[in-house]
Amino acid sequence: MPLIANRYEPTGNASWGGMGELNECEDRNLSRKVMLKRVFKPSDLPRLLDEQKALIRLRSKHVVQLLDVVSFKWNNQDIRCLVLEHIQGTDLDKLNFKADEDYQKTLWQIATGISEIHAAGVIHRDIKPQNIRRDQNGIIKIFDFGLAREAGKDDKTKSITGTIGYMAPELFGTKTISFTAAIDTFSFARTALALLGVQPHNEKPKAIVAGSVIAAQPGLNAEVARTLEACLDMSPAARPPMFEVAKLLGRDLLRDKHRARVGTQKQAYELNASKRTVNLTFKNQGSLSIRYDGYDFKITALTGNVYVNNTKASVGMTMLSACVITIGSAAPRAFVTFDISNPEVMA
Amino acid sequence: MIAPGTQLASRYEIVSYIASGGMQDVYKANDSLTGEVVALKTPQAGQTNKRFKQSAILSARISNYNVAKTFDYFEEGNACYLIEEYVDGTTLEAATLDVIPQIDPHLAAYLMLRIAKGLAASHQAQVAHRDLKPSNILVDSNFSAVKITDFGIATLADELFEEIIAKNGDLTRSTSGTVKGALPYMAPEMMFRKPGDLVGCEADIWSLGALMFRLMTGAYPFGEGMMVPVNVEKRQPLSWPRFLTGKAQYTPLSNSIIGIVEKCLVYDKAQRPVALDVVRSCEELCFHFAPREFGVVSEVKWSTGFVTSSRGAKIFYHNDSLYGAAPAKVGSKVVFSAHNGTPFPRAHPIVVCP
Repeated sequence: MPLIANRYEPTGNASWGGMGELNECEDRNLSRKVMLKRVFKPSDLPRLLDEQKALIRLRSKHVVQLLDVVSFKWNNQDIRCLVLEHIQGTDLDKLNFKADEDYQKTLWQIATGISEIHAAGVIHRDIKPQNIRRDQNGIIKIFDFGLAREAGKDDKTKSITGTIGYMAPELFGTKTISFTAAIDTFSFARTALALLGVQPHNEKPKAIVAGSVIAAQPGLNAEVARTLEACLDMSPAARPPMFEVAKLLGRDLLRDKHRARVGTQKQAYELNASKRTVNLTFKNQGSLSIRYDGYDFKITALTGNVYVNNTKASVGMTMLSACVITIGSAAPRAFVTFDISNPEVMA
Repeated sequence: MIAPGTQLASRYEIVSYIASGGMQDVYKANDSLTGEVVALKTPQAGQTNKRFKQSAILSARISNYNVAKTFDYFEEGNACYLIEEYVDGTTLEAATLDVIPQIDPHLAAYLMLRIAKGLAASHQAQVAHRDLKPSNILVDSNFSAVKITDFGIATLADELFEEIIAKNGDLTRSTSGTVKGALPYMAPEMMFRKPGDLVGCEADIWSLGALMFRLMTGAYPFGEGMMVPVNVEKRQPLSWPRFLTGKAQYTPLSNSIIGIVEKCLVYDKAQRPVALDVVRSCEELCFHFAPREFGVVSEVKWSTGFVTSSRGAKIFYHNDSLYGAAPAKVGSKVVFSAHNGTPFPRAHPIVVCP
């Protein structure tokens, strides 16, 4: 076969026979591999390009880069392909996970990616482990945007959107299918369970009983389990938006990893998971206790006049990222600096 | 010079000239296919197209968020062009050293984690940068993008370097501007290399250590010019200024970063951590990152003061948050992160600029 567009040479690796839907090629100009993704219906090309442009503008690290668009003839057929970045790595359906921090960080990355896709106004439509890859640096990449609808792998899925088992319930049964970004939310949670070995049934999903995810996966963090259950709600409107799912998962990755430096004129203390409470007292002016609950530093007890960045402190108040605590309303007063830091969760 | 409006490869339209990288000219261009703004690079007169293509191929092997991505390469007429991800901002050199005398340890941790991530991905793809320095890192205005660029630029310089080595024995006695600019960040095995020596990824770790030292202290770790090889060769210990550990608020983080940087700057390349080790160490650092703003000190009291930010807001600061070598005086220019507070936001960290 001659070079495509004078630069792309098929390597013979194709995910679906011959000139199938996804072909690996060598880009002769840059001596690197790229993926040629066939667009079956030429009328879909403008929509796909628009989606790709929207995604490029977001510069998400979880989305594969569009490099080129090519048209050529093959076996007397007009072929159009998107040329996409080739990511070396492993598809998630080939990886084994257990409910640990690596799993949670993977979920957080997927959720972040989907929420970025949604922020671009794009709905993926076919989130499943086979469409998500972990690259050699551990970065999650999401593939196959909006193509599910036109290129079903078999007759059963041809007329509808997505892959049975991962598809949201609202996609079943009606002729005119209207859907929202919440279909990706459902598929995300189904994917999360599949990664733990809970494979989906090849049928329209049924409502799950509250608490069943945690019951089946006791190793799972309770908050993550509750989030996944909410994502699997039969009603699309009841599912949380993906940015909230990502935020929750990210927050949990930092559980018990924060530190607070508490600096008085005489001494500096550190609060962290192994030392959770500090009691501060100054003469007869006042006192307070601050406790670290794994996510936040909160005031748990208080006497006298205490201010945090000049706001009157109250029990239950969450400490700000960097603040000054003042004990006493008139001199002599004590000033205590309070600064929270944490490792960065970064893909 | 390529005139604005010129179209190349029926796809890229030149918007404006950005800079000359010493070996190549860089333009801002529009990609009509994707609608994106891209950087277009082309070798300067005197550079061979073959080396330019070789450097493009090297950089194209890396795909990482902290490395400026290579999108395309093509030849048209007698010239060749590289299309790279465009970062709307400036170099790390211009964003820090030109305006901030020394960065605070929170910003240092934030930057080092990202640069190390970019290096880890390129080393994983078996590509060494070999000329890592603050002017080869691109950042946007609030540091949300931190991307290493010019992977493969060292390939362009190879010919020049080989000539110098053949003439002088090694690079250390060169009067070339390219070499002089690179020396303060250059690993010993690069500096003292003999004809035919291969310089690997370990050299980037040294450069990472050297550039972090520079950003955090404002000084070069081994001096400048002819003193660099002398000081490197005698394994002169690093001298960290006292302000890094002078305030209780900053001491633990400063000490942690100093520990990582010192490991990077070990003379024996086999003893240095690999990029992934540096990433892991940086991932353990506890820090707080918020965007930086500039302002001017408006009031100084016993242990506190006020700043007027460049956006006109009144900001409170406590001396414990004041970081760096210079004291705050009324009229001092400062850079800071603002945190919620009543009645005024609180600056932390806050650093006095020259």
